[in-house]
Amino acid sequence: MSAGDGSAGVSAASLGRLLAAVLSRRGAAGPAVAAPDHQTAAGTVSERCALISAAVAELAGRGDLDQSSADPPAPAASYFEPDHRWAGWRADDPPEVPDTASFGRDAVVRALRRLPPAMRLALVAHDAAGIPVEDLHQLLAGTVDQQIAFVDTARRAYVAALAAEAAGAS
Amino acid sequence: MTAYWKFLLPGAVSPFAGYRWAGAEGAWVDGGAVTPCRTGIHACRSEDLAYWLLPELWSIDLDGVHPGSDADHKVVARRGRLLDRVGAWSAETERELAIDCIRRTADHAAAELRAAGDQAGAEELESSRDLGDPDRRTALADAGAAAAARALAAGHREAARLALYVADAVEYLDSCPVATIAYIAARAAHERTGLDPDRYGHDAERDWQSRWLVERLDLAVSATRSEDL
Amino acid sequence: MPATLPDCHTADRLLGRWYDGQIDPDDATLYEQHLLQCPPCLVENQWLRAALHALQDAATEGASQ
Repeated sequence: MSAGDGSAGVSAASLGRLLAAVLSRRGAAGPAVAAPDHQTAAGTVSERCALISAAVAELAGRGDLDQSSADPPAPAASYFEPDHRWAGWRADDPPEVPDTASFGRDAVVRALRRLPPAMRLALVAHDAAGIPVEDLHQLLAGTVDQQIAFVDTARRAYVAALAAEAAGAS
Repeated sequence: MTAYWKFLLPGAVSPFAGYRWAGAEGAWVDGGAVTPCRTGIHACRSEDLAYWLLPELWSIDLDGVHPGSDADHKVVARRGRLLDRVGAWSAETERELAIDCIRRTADHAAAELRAAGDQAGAEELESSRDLGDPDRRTALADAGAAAAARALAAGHREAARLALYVADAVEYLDSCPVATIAYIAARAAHERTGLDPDRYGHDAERDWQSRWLVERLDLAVSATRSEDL
Repeated sequence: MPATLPDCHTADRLLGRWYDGQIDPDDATLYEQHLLQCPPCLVENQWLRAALHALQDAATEGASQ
C-alpha cells in the first residue's frame, strides 16, 4: 500500500500523457509532452523527478502550463465538540461507499483538474510515479513535513473532487 | 491444531487490504514478508474475536505464525488459507450480540447510577431486558437520557456519561455495525469507577464478548499462545 | 490495547500515513480498530484506496499504445 507500490507499471510515456492531461491548460485536448521513443518502466526516483520536471518545463515552454489559482474542493467533516462524550468523533452522516466503476481515467483527470496545479503535480509525483515524500523537494518547495501535510491535503481534495465527478456521472 | 479465525467484509473481502478471498477458499495465500500490520496474513484467536467484528467469520489455517505478533489481539502469519465460513455468524446473531451489549451497557450505567445515589434510575435500566422490541429499546434510551440529566444536575458526570452511552447504543443499533455497539459497552466498562481494573473494565468486557461468540457460535477455542512458539 | 480508541479526527490524520506504511505498528492497529467501530471512517479509508488506485491505473493506461 505504500506510495511506490502502484508505480511499478507506470512507463515514462504513460506518465507523460497523464502529466499533460492534468497540467496543460488545454487538458487532454492538447498535445502530449515528449515521451521516450521506447516504453521503459519509470526508473530511479531521480530519473522520475527529472521526467516530471522535463514535462513541466516543456508545457511551460510552449505556454501550455496551467497556472490557475483555483481553490481546491474543501472536504468538510464535522466532529463532536471537545466537551462532548464522543469528542472528536464524526458528527455527520457517513459518506456513500465509492462506486469504483465510475473511476475511469477521464474521471480521474477531471477530478485532478479541479485542484490547484501544485496539488495535481504532488499527487501525480507521489501517488502515481511513486516518488517518496522526502524526495518531492526536487519538484516542489517546502520541508519534508510541509510536503507530508501538502500531500495529505491534496489527497483529501482529490477524493472530494473524484466523489463530485462520480456523483455527477450518476 | 490451533483454531484461528478471520473476520471479513461481505464477499470475503479483507477490510484493510481489499483482498478478495472469494474463490480462494482452501488455497494457501501468501502474505509476503511478515511485517505485522503491513503485510502477512492477519487472523485472531478465539479470545480476541471481539476486537475484529465484521459480517463474515471464517476459520483459517495459518502457516508461519510470526512469534510475538499476538501482542495486539491478533496474529500475523506468512500464509493462510480460508477453511470454512461460520454459518452461525449472521445478521441475526450479530443483532443478538449487539442487543446483549446494550444490556451490558445498561448494567454498567445502572451500577454507576446506584453508586451516585440514583437507585430508581439504576433499577429502571436494569429491568429493561426485552430489547428485541423497538418500543422497549426506545424506553430504555429515554430512561438513560433522563437518568443522565438527573446525574448531571447532581454533579455525577461519570454516571451521566454512562447513562448516555445507553441511549447512544440504542440509537446506533440499526445504523452501525455490531462492532460499534460492542465498543460502546467496552468503553462503558472502562469508565466504571471504583472497580479493580484487573478484574473489570475494558479487557474484561472484551473477554465477555469473545466468550459470548465462542459459546453462541459453538467455536473451537484457540490453544494458548505458548503452543505456537 | 488501550480502552479508548482514537477518535475520528485522529483517524483522519493517520489515514495518509497508514496508507503509505509510514505508521507505527501500534498506531496502525488502533487505527484499524477504529475503522471497524466507525463506518464513516471505514468508508473514508475505502475512498482513499479506491481513488489512489484509480490514479495509479490512470498513470499506466495506454502503456501498451
